[in-house]
Amino acid sequence: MKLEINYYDVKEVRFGAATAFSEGILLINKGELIRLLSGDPRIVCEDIAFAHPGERVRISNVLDITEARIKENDDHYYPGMLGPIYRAGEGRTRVLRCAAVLEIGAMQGFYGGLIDMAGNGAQLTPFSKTINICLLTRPAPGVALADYGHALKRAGLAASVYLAKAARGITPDDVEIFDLPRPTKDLSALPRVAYLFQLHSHGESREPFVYGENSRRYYPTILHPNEVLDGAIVCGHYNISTSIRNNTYTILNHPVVLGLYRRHGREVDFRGVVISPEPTSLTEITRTSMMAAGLMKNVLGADGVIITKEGGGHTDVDLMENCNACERLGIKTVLIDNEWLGSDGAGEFPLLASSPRADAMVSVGNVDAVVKLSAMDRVIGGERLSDFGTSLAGEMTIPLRFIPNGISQAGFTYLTTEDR
Amino acid sequence: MIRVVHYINQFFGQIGGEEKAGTTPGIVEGAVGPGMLIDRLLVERGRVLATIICGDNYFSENPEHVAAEILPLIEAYTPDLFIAGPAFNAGRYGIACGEMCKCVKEKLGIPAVTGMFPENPAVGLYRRHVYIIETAHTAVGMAKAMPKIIDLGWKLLHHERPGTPREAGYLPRGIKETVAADTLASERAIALLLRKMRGESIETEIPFPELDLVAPAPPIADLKGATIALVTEGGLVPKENPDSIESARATRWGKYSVDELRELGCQRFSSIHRGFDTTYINEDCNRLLPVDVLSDMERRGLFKGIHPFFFVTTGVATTIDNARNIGKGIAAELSDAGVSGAIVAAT
Repeated sequence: MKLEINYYDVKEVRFGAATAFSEGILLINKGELIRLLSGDPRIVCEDIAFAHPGERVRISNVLDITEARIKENDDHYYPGMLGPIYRAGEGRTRVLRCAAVLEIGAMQGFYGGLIDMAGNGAQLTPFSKTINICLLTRPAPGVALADYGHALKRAGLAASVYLAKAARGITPDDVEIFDLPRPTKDLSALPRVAYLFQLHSHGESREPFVYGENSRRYYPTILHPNEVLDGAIVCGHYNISTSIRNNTYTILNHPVVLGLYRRHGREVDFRGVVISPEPTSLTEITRTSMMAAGLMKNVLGADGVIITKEGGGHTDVDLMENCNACERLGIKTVLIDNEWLGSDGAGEFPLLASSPRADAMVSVGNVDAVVKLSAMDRVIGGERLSDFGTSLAGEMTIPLRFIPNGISQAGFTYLTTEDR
Repeated sequence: MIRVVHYINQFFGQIGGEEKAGTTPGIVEGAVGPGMLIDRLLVERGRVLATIICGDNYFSENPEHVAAEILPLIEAYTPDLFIAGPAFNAGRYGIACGEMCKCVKEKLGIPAVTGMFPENPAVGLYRRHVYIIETAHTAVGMAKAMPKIIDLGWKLLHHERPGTPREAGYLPRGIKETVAADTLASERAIALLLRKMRGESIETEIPFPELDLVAPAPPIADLKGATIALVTEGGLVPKENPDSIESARATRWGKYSVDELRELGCQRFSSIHRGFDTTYINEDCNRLLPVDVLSDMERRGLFKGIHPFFFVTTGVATTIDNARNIGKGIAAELSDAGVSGAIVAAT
């Protein structure tokens, strides 16, 4: 299965008479984009704004982040969500790199994030280094939470595809081929590793989509890594804190998948990805962990697995059960998880569940840690943030969990914890 | 020139060994025993003004009381820095050093440092409260430990950041700071996995915690005579949330009338819990607290009665310390009211 990704590096975004891309400059016809996003009666698209790295801008109420992407030949993307159902991970994909598309909106029950483009806060998120194209929306009057969520998701994905169209017929800045030839040469000397990707699955507005279907409809399923990198999985669950769900950008650029891919054939034999839901009862968790571990061992033939979770403390149980099930089959595991240590970092129990078998863990930081943000000159996305009382203008302190990829359960962060 | 007061036991105070462990606290002008080393290391920067000497048995039999007795002796010298020990692997001496440092720091607001061997039982008691420099298990380690004690004290005194345990030589205090690593978490995970698969030594970033397991109470012997209480972390509160219980990271709990819950249900109560979709509970509170079924069982005489109050907090991202306090508070009320059993509904 071969995927070719063509990257077009965006250096600047401006509004223009027609949406077009040339020499690193993306021009956006604002009226046209707003009209495109206004077709859905459940959502109002109020404005489009953008912010460049280094500008003293604070972006609030960020609900999801994606990239401008499209299939080179078919004019669609996000199979089952926006496009028809087709297999992701094959053919040629066009990506406007160094830019991000941000779904922005506020509604009681959705937990948006905060991105500072400069100052101390910019050090805490990779999204201070992308040019951020902000879709400023609000729910239509009387619309239900889940309906607004679906409409916002469609709007974000539609904008992603619309913007990527602008680079048609242009020579890319960079091309990357993703291919796991199997077997083209003898990899028996290399460690056989796989990735177990847990997906939150706690009900409507609380779970991502796989090929357009809610994650809870899935049992542990093998995906080719290309499918993960090419739009099969989309974040659409805004009813949990920003930093304890994987935004779409992070999934499309999944650092564990990319990290294993880039070592394939040299340091590791990358056997593939298993996605697994995170059910709500212990019986179901026992069942899914047994099945996930079985796929790892008996189908993929993995001897080592990286496991990541998505969500709050409840999903530590899934993480530990997956760890136990794999280790019982003789598969070595490494787990990535955030810690829960209170704002002073002195909490005695960093996780909600633990296992003596989980002897190799990577920490992506303390969700409760409080960080200081410098004053910014302007705020995009509203002066108030759900579940956070203070006004957003000026200098402020805020829990890390509000900053996208401040905590990244998929490992897309430099943050960790250190003893003091 | 910094003013130091030093605490040592009867042995290092050259009074005697185990037979003198009952010695009551006394104070001597200037440095004694290991205090001489402090003076030598400080050179021009400062000196030991006074040394407190106390027997280990006398101290450890009633640490808080003895510390309170010693505190005014220290205060009289208005020190800038307090040093205790180091105690190495001596358990009672460790308690004395830990307790004295804790009291001096908390009650007098003066920086305090001690030193111990990592397996000294006092480490677990005091590491969260005071800086303890890691030492060897006997006084052989004195020359190595004392410069670190002084360096750390100097930093604390001048409000400088002490650095990591590895840099400064202190035992981890059970506090973790969120900091940036050199590499992405995903890359660290892959490197860790490859090391683990090769059978090399590995270091986890999240160690297995020391668990505090509670043995379950014995079953209720006489159910017909039992009073049953309802307890939940499901955040079901009167609509005006009179006790301001937090929707997540709770520090508080409340108790509300079971009669009102039975009669008024969702007209009066709703869940403020942030960790799950509360729609279904807010349609029918019995889905969280089964007061309908319990009332029916009570009428049929299966047990004596429902305790007139139900107890509520929110269980989502609550710190262990807060959860423990909430649990203790609720359990004390239930116990005082003679409740025989509780149904704890979790979400």
